[in-house]
Amino acid sequence: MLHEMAAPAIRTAALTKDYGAGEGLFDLELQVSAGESFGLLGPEGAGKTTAIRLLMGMIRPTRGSAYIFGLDCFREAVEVKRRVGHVAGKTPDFGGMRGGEIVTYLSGLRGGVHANRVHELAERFGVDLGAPHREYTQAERQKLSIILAFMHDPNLLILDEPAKDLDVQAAAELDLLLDESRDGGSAILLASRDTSDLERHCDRVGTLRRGKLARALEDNSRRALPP
Amino acid sequence: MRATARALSDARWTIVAFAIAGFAITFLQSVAFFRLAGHTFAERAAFGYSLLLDATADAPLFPPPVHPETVAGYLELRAFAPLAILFAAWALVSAERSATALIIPRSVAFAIGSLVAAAAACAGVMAGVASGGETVDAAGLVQAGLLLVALASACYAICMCAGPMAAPLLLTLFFLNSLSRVFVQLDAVRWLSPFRYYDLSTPLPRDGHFDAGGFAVLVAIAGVGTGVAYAISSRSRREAALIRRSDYEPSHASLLTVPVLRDLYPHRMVIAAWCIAFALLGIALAAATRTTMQDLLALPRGLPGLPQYIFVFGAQVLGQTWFDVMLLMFVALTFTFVMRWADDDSSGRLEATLSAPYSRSAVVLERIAALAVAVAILAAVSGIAVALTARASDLAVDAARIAGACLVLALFGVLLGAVGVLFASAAPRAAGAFFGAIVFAAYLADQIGGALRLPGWLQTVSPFRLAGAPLANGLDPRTLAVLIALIVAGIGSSILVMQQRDVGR
Repeated sequence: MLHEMAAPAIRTAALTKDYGAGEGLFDLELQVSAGESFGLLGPEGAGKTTAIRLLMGMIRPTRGSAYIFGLDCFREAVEVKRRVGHVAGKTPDFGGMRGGEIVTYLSGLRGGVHANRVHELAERFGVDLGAPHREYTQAERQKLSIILAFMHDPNLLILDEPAKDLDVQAAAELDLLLDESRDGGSAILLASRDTSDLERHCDRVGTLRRGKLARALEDNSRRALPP
Repeated sequence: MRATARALSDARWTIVAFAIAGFAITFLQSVAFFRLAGHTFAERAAFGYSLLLDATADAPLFPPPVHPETVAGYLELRAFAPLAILFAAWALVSAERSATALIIPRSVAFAIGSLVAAAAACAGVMAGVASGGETVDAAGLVQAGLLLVALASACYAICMCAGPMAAPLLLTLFFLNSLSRVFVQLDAVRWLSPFRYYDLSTPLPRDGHFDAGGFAVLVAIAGVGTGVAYAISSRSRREAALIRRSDYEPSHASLLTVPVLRDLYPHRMVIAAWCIAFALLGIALAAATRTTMQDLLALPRGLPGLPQYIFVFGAQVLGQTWFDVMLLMFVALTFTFVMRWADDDSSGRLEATLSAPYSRSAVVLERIAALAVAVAILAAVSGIAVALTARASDLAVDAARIAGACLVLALFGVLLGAVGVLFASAAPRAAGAFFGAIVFAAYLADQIGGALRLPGWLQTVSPFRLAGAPLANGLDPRTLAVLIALIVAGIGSSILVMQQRDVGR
């Protein structure tokens, strides 16, 4: 446990997923400390989602390794996910299940989720948990994904374009939520095509191009700005 | 147009699978006919008579044959009648409530897909019949294909209107028509069933006919049903937006947190409806047994090549009317589970589930456990209904035999589930197609494996052969052991495959 707490939130070494024809992610070397927020910037197809899906243990690396809090992302995926909140690049479709049922179902798998926290998040984002998921707009589906990622107050947030499809008010609420999480000590990995999203929230930003971390990681000046 | 093309692209593997299945069943049944029926008039007459005996016992499932001693009549009975059920099942698993704007494009795409599969089935007839040096009427063949498309489109529209209740409703409509062949009391209401309008035509055999009115009704059901589904969808969205007050509370349904039951909870109403349908079906089929026995005893005797006396026992007939029908019902039920597991992948639900601390092996085990619970409940419900009805009808069927048959039905369902969960774990996009193909091949191996000279072991491991006839012959411990071993092998392989593969879209 002590080892896990001392370990970086994310550490990858030569992490590669080769889909062929130059597509995928190649030799990603990344370290994100506990409590740090890191931005992955890149156009569509740059490899952001592939990197996130490798970290979440959804896909197997072609080579290389990935660790979250010192745990292997694929072999120890269950333990990894106790510590992680995740917004996927594509919102899932739960068909006729109601929002509240989805939350209860996934809370049951996870354990340790308080109904009050869910209520608070749903109210902040204005998500009607009594409605069937089928009837949600794309924005409402994205908001529900955000609730599911934040409801257990994870140590690490891995978010793939979380502001996608959100209206201005919901995007502002997400900004607040990210600030609260970071202030609470959570590490954040935020992938986006939008530089301004990352500048607002991230201590460091890396740019992915064609599956490679093209630009050297740089300090974001945001932290130096007065509050 | 673009939405239709997208829907066709999404369903391409399913269309390919049904096209292959359509071609295979008609081609292989044609080949089987020439091997089984003999060549002389007397041989074919005896063969036709044996089919008539089978068809009498199968009356709750298939329409009576017309000239079964000819290849066209045989194909109408053994290829197109099962294909009608297969196409209806395809409609059932393909029709789902979707965004209002997608309802018409998806309906058109399904009609096009079923047309392709029906054309493949017709091609199978031509190739198979030609292999025996005979021909069938081309116009009748085209009409048979069009009838399949019309029936499938009508079923698709009905399923879209019925939403989650589609499976029990379609089952009810099917048996409303088929049981009317046994119970004259149902004559007055069988017009409600689209299968009635399909049965009105027998275009393939000589002396058969094409009922244009029945065909038009099927097309009308498809058109009007699609319109109604569109109206229901747009109205429910408007009403939902007007009526509902926002609710920020998570659901308090505690079953959603109980392993296995949480998988069944979202489908509880559907399972309850399946239970009612299976119970009613059990009662109806058991009640039909005595009538079927009388029909069998009333058949003429003395044809060359057949035994002089046909002994009819309640357990044998109940085995054919109830047990065999239930096997097919469990195929349909398992197919809906497999399609749901496959959809977990494409819809992103599996990725969402695996974002929680929940292992991949747990996904597989919980899937199969949920199916096992569902099939155990349904087998028990149907078995109890049959036992009570058999006792009330004075049918000499041992209750222990019925309990044994229920056990075999449950194991049969779980075995199919183990096959399905393996495909859903290995290749979710093609799982429905692969599963359908394997089950279909297993069915053919059991039915005509001997005529096609398939290896003995292949026929033996067919789940349909393993299920056997427990009502007539009792339970065979070795067969049960093989069923359980295959289930364990399927689940174990699924876990291994699931551990290794990439998840997500």
